[in-house]
Amino acid sequence: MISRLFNPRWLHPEGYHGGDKRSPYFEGWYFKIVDRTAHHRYAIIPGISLSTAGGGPHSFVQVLDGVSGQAIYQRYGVDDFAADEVGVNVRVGPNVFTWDRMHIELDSSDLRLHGDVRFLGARPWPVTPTSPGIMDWYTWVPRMECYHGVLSLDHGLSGTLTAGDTSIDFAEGRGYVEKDWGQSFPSGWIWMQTNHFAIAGISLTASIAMIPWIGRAFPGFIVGLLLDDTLYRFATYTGATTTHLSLTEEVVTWRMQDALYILDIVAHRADAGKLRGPSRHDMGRPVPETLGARVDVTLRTRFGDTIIYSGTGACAGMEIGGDIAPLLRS
Amino acid sequence: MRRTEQGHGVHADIWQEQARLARRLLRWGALNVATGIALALHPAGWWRGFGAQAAGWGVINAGIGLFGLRGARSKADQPQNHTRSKQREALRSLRKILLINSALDVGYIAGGLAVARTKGRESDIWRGSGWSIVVQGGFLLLFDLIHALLLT
Repeated sequence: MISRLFNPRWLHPEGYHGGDKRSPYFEGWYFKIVDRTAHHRYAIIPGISLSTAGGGPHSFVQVLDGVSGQAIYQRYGVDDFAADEVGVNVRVGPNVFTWDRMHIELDSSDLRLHGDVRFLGARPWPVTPTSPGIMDWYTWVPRMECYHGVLSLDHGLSGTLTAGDTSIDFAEGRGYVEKDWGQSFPSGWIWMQTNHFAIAGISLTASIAMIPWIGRAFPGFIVGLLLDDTLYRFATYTGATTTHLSLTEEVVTWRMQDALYILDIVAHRADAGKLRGPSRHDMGRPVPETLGARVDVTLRTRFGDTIIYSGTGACAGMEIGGDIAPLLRS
Repeated sequence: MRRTEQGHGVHADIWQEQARLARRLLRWGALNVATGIALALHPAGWWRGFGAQAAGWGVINAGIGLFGLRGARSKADQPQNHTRSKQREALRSLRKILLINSALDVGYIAGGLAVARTKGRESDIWRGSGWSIVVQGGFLLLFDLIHALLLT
C-alpha cells in the first residue's frame, strides 16, 4: 500500500493501470454517447483482458446499440492496444479514445461504425490524494476485485458517426465516461447511470455490489448525484446506508440516507442487450445492459424534508448482473 | 487537452463535507472523553493530568462537532444554499475557518509545551496536562490543515 502513495497512477483513475499486471486482469473504458434526439444511443467500450483462458490475452472494442439492443465484441491483439498511465489516451487497433474525442473504425459483420465524436466540457468525479476518485480510500487498497472510476459525469458532444449507411449527428448530444479495472466484475451488482434530465448538467451514477473483504463480502455502494456542479455523494465510505433496496421485473427501488439527506431512486427497467464482462477466467461473462431505462430521483433533507431535487432521467444505462440475492438481503 | 483545462469544476456538496468533518470531530471528542476519564483514574499524576486535560478537550471538541452537524443540517434544509454560488461561498468560508484554526492550533501546541516546561517542572499533573494539550493541538492542526487543503 505504501508504494501506492508514490505511484501517480492511483491519482489518475482515468489512466491505464495494467502495465505491470498479469492474468487475471481486465481494464475497460465505458463511453456512453446519446444524440440530441435520443434516437441513437451507444455504449462503446475499449479495453484489454490479460486473462490466459478464453482465447488468451487480447484487447477489444465492445459496442452496445442502446436502441436495438444489438451488441458486438470486436477482438484485437494485445499489441493493438496502447494506453497512457496518465490521462485518457487509449488506442485499440484503429480506434482512439481521449479526454476530448473518440475516433471509431469498426467493421464487424454485424455492425459497421465509423466517425469522430468530440467531448465538450467533461465533468470528472473530483480526485484528491486522500480521495482519488469515486472509490475514495478504497482506491488505495491493493488487490480489490474491481476498481471503478468516473471520468465524466456529463459532457456535451459534437461530431458524426456513420452506422452502416446511417449518418448520426451527435451535436448537442450528451455523453458520460467511466471505467473499471481489476480481476473480475463483482459476484453481483446493480448499476445505473443517467444524465438525461430536464436540465442539462444533471447526472446520476449509482452502483451497489458485493465487495470481497478479508475473507468475507459486504454490499458496498457508491452513488453520485450531480446538480449545478455540486456532487452529492452517498457511499459506504461516507457513512451513508441503504435503508431499502428491492427489485421487480419492472423497477428497482432504492432508498439511501446519510447524516443530512435521503435519496430515493426508482429505476424503470427496459429491454437489455448482452455485453461481455470480465470474470476471473475470461471476458465471457454475460452482462445484460440497457440504455433505455428511466430513473426517478428525489433528493430531500432528512430532518426538514425539504426537496432539493426531484426529476426523471431518461436514456439510462442499467445493468443487473450476477447473483444479486445477497444485495437484496442486506 | 488536460482534464483541468477541459473540465468544469465539480465539487462535493459543502454541507455533506461539513457534516463529515463535524462527525469526525465528534468521534475524536468522544474517544478523548472516554479515554481521558479512564486515564484520570490512573494512580500516576502524569497520566491523571493527561487524562483530565484530554477529557476536557474531548467535551469541547464533541460540542463543536455537534454544533457543526446541527449547522450543516440547518444550512442544507434551505434550498437557496444549494446553488453553485452559495456552495462556493460556503466552501471558501469553511476553508478560511479551518486555516484560522490551524494557526490557533500552533498556539495550543506552544502553550502546551510552555505548561509542560514551566508548571510541569514542579508537578507531574501539570506536565501530563501540558503534553496532553500538545497532543490535542497536534491532532487539531493535522485535522484542520488536511481538511482545508483537501476540501473539493
